[in-house]
Amino acid sequence: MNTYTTALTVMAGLAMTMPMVCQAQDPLSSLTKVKVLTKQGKTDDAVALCDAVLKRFGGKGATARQFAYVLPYYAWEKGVVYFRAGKYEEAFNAFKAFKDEPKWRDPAQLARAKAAATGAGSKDAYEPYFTYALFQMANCRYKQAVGDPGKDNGDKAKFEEAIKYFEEYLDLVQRGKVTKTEKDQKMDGQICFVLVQAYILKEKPDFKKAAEYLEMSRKVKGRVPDEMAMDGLNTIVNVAISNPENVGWVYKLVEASPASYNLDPARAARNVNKFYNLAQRAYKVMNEALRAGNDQQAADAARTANTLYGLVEDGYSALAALQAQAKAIGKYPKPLLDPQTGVQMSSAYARKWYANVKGLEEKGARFDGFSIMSSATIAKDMGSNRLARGGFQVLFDRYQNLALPPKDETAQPFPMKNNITMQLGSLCRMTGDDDAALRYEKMLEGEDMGDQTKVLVFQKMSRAVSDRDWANVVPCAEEVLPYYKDDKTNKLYLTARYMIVAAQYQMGEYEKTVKAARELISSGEMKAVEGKETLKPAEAAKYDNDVYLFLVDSLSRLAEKTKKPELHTEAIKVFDEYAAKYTSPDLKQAPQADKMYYAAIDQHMKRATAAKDDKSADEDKKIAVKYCDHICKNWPESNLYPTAELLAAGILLNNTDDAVKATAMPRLVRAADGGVKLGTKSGRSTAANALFWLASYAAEYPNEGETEEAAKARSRAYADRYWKDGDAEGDPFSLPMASLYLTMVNNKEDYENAMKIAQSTIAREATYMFKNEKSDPELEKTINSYVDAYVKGSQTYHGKTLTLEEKTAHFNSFPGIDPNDKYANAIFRMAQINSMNEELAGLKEDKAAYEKMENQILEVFRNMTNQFKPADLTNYICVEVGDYLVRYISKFPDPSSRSEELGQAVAYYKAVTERNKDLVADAKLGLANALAFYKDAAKQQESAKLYLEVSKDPDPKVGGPALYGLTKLYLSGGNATAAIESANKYLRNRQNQRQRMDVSLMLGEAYTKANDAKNALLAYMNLFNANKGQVGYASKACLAIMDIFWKRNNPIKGDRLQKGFQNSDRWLAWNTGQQYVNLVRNSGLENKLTPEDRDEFNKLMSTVHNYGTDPAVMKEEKDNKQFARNIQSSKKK
Amino acid sequence: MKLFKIVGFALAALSCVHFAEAQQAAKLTAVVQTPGAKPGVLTLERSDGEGTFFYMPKGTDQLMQARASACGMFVIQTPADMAKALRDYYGGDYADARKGFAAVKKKYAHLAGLPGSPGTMAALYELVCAARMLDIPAVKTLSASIPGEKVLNPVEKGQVEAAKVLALVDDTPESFAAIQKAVVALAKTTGVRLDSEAYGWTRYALGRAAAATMAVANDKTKSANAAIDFYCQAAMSMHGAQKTVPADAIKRAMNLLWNLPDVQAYASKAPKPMEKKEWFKAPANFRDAVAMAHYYKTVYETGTPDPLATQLDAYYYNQLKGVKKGD
Repeated sequence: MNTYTTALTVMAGLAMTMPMVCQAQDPLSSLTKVKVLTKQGKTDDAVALCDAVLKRFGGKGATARQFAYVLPYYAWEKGVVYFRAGKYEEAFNAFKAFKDEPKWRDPAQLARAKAAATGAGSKDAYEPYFTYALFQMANCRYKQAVGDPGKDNGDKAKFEEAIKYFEEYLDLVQRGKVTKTEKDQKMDGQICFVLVQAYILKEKPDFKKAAEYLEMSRKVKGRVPDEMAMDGLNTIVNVAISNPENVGWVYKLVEASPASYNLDPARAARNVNKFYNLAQRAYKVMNEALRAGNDQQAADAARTANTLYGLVEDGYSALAALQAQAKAIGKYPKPLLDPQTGVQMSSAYARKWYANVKGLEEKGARFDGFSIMSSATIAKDMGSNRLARGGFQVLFDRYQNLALPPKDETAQPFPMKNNITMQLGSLCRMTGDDDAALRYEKMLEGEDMGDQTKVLVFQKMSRAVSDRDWANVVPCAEEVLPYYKDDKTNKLYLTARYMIVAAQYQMGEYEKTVKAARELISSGEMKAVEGKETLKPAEAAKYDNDVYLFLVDSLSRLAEKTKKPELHTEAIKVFDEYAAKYTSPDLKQAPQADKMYYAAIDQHMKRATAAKDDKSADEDKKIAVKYCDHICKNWPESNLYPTAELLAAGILLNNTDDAVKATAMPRLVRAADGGVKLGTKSGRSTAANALFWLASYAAEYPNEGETEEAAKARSRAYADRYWKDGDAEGDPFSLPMASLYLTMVNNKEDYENAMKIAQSTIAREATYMFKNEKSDPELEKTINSYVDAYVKGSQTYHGKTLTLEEKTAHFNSFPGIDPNDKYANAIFRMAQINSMNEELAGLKEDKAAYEKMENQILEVFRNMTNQFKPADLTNYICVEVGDYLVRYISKFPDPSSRSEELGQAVAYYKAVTERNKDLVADAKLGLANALAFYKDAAKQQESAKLYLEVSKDPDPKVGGPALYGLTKLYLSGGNATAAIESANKYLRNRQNQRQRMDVSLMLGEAYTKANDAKNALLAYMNLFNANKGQVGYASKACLAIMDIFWKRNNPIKGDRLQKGFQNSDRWLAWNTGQQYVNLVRNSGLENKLTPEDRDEFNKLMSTVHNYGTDPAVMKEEKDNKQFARNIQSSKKK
Repeated sequence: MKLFKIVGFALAALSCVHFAEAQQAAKLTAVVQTPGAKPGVLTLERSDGEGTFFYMPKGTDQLMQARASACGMFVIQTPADMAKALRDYYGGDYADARKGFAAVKKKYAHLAGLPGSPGTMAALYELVCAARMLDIPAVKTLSASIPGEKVLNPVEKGQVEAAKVLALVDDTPESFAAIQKAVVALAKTTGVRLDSEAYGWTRYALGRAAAATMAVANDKTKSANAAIDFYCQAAMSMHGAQKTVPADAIKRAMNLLWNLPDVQAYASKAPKPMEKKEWFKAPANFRDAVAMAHYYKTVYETGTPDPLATQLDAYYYNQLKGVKKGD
């Protein structure tokens, strides 16, 4: 190339040799004038001069012939002039005309031109233009197709021609059919690259063809200048992203020719922001595609963005390389070409870009940092919080000074440190590293985050919500509110208000919940309005519905806590307000409607329970059933549907009218079906409840026309279905159903099946309770049912009477019970003891057998107390064992002599009182009972103290028995006055309790001991008159009354014929007893007496007999009878 | 839109200074301005490895010497074999590039230690290739010896030091302490002037070492989480600039997530693909394993699909789907 420069050089050389005559016309130096005119923008003049020369010397004259060989230069230069003026159509025509003009190819003329050129120092004349014209024609068409820079005014149709001519020229180059001059230019790489762009920019982009040329551009000899490669990439991204379907081609094209873009750090320095900006555009496409659900496009855009971020050079690498380059070149003023790599180096470039990158770096604008942030954002958008956290951790550790460049020179860069810290904290939170999150969040405390502050404050609240740190949610939410005081429709503001209510509710702060919920509802702010940052209708409805639900439930809980049933009425009013506001059953409009109706049912039922009169209770129950119907009708798909059916059935089953009760049956069937359909744990639980009730009541309420047998079979079918559709570990109905199932046995097969199910259910539930440290009295009941069924079933279905050893062996190795499960094993032992006690009762007539059995029981029992230490057993079992011991001890005439058992009982009870969790009152009562047996005054005092403490317990299960025990203790200790007081307290406050008659007897005894015969008589008389059907108690009271009269011994008072006559006390004593004996005998009560009652009645009869045979009584009775006969006969007369 | 600036043949390149072609093997051509002289082309015969070069002025048989640092200009022309290796390197063909750099390093070893010396630069690039190929034994050998290392710029020196950290990877529990110590030392010497790829190598090394501690850790989950975090930092630090190390780091992190408690148990009952309702209820580690698999397949995977990534990607749910901007 050093022998060929331009046409101008050639022409200038020729001009020097021209005769002066020719210079007047100057076909040689005119070309210089053309150049000057072109440079001055005088295109028309330049073209006119070319045309003038062509015309002047285009003839056939001698002069024309002399200068004919220079005319091709003017023909070519016309094209150049037009091209430089941007007149591409004219330029195209000029180049084409040149190429097609045969006379320029005249060998003689060409030889002259070459000779002249050689003389001027050039190897070539105009012969390269014949082929190069193709390139220029392509170039013109390309320019026309692209249009003006920055304007969309190109004629894309021209790309086809541009491609055609470029490809034709490239073909010539690659086949070596161009001049050496052209070959030396190594244009093939650049042509390939322009073709890449042409194929992408044309009307119908052909990315495949573009990729082929990109690949080719890498392999050909001619290199693509960096600037061209970069601008080409810009073109590719512009086109591809303008139609996001093509975004994937960007990474494919770049990956097809990585060496075009992977530059050494010094060269890459100038492109960092360009690559970054292109990557950002790809990221935008990715984000939009993700939101639109276009996963393939999102994936293409993500890879494109990642590829482009990857091309962003590290700032420090670029600086170091530019510094080294500047130092290497020194002050050398020209660009320096490295021929093997094609890389140009220049001092100016190195210094300029060093200053540029350094300036950005000093302002915190590090594009490598931005790229890491964007890569992390892509990962987060795709759902990987861990990768995103990794990115922000790197930024936090290495890019503390990162800052966004200012929008204009007067503004300051925006530091990213706080945003990075905030994001990192948030990502730590999302990835479960709360400690790290807290660390970063604390760093931001007190930082001015500008507009981000309110978002930060909201995020703090959101974190507290996601952590369920409700105590923190309230202050966090209150911190949010002031930021939106002028924007109360903002969704963040309304969310914060909602969270205040929700958090109070979650914390169980029901009074505060009520207050906050009422304020929010009455403010009317919770609504959807049009706008960008407002709640959508569904969101507003969700929040509003929740607030109503929290309010109703809080009022309900407060009603129970404060014992104020009127709060249920308030809750009902809130519901009524809600129901009036949300009339549509559409759950999209009223998302919590089904739950609100369910809550309303609950309120009406609770109010019914607390109602003072049946009428208002019935009204509430009716409304509850109506709301159940509302749920069942409107929301059959709701999770609450089966529960609503079950609730309605439960209410109906409590009705006194059998016809109403029967209507519960189909509802129970629907509840069971609905529960099963839900397929959830709670659905199965509902089904279990419904099936248990169906199994329990179906036979009682047969279908119309159904026989008793068929109803029983149906009942059993429900029980069978229970095991399939309802049974579950821990379900409260499993054990009762196992017990019930044992009673539904019709034959041996049923029996075996029921026993098998009972066994496995007991084992499973015992294990469940063991593992979860729970207790349930139902386990004991079921074990007792099982023991009973086992013993009786062996006899009935196997004809075998089990020996004690066989029973012991069976219960001690019950299948499925963990040997370490002291709880279940202890129940079995007690069940065994209970079974033996039943046998014991049947042996009363056989004293020897009775004593043997009693000893055996004692043995089993002792084994049990030896095997199960108080610390091993649950509170329930401890109390049970303690109670058993106390009952056992009480059978002895002198319980205080049973010091070993007493000590054990005290230990079991104390285990419970010391744990101080559940059943503490029961244990204290038992402990008082045990201590009461001691003769030691201190222990008796302790007993009295415990009785007094427990007697204050409102639970009748312990409060009444404590007063009973206290009375008994005082009585046995001779403190009649205290006994009278505690007995009267019992009788006043503990009406209808089991021990009332015993206490009445003790009251009488206490008055007697206090020498208050009058009140003693009154106490006994009250008991006797009110309980004549209770022969045992009535006999005792009667005996006491007789005794009092007998001992008082007042004589006959007055004359039988006169008013005021009174029989003697002794006759009265006898007569009272005799009258009662007659009543018992004549009423048939005598035939139903228990052995214990019989004993008391026998004592009474014996005393009556003794009193009746007293001579004085006999005489008085005889006189009374005589007097009665006299009166009778006088009446007849 | 960039297009040809010229219409004729006067390409900018023609106005540049042209180098004479190197005629002799194992010699280098450089444009040098020795003290007191004008810039000119010299043929470098050898160096002392410490910045002094030896040359024979044209037309003489006398061997002269000068210090490169004393020259007003010192630019070594890239030899053809180095240019070829560089083309392979920037084209991502690290295996061929590595061979080429190894040959150049050997061929010009006697000219190492000069600014831009192909022998020194080839040694650095060979090391980078080995690191990108995760050939840890080679990284260990190569990082131990860079001829003429002193002439590397601070960022390049940082790359060598970071490679030495990477070389400590041996997947033993003990390696964690050694790597951690080396990373702390590296931070003291290079500070922030460590390029993001080299920084990624150190995070990758910490990830491998933390994962190795799982074998002896009482709290294996804690070790696994530490390793996952290091791997994620490695992948993100490189921001797409390099593919092999981030891809390997992500796959390892994904594998560790997959083996965290409850992830596989959850996967066994989760539908493929997942829907919104299930996705947001799924354990965070499961979701991240799936998202990471999707990210890996989307951004990095080439060639044979990774079986676990493919398995996990089947669960993927696009959590931004239907989410409007600003939500």
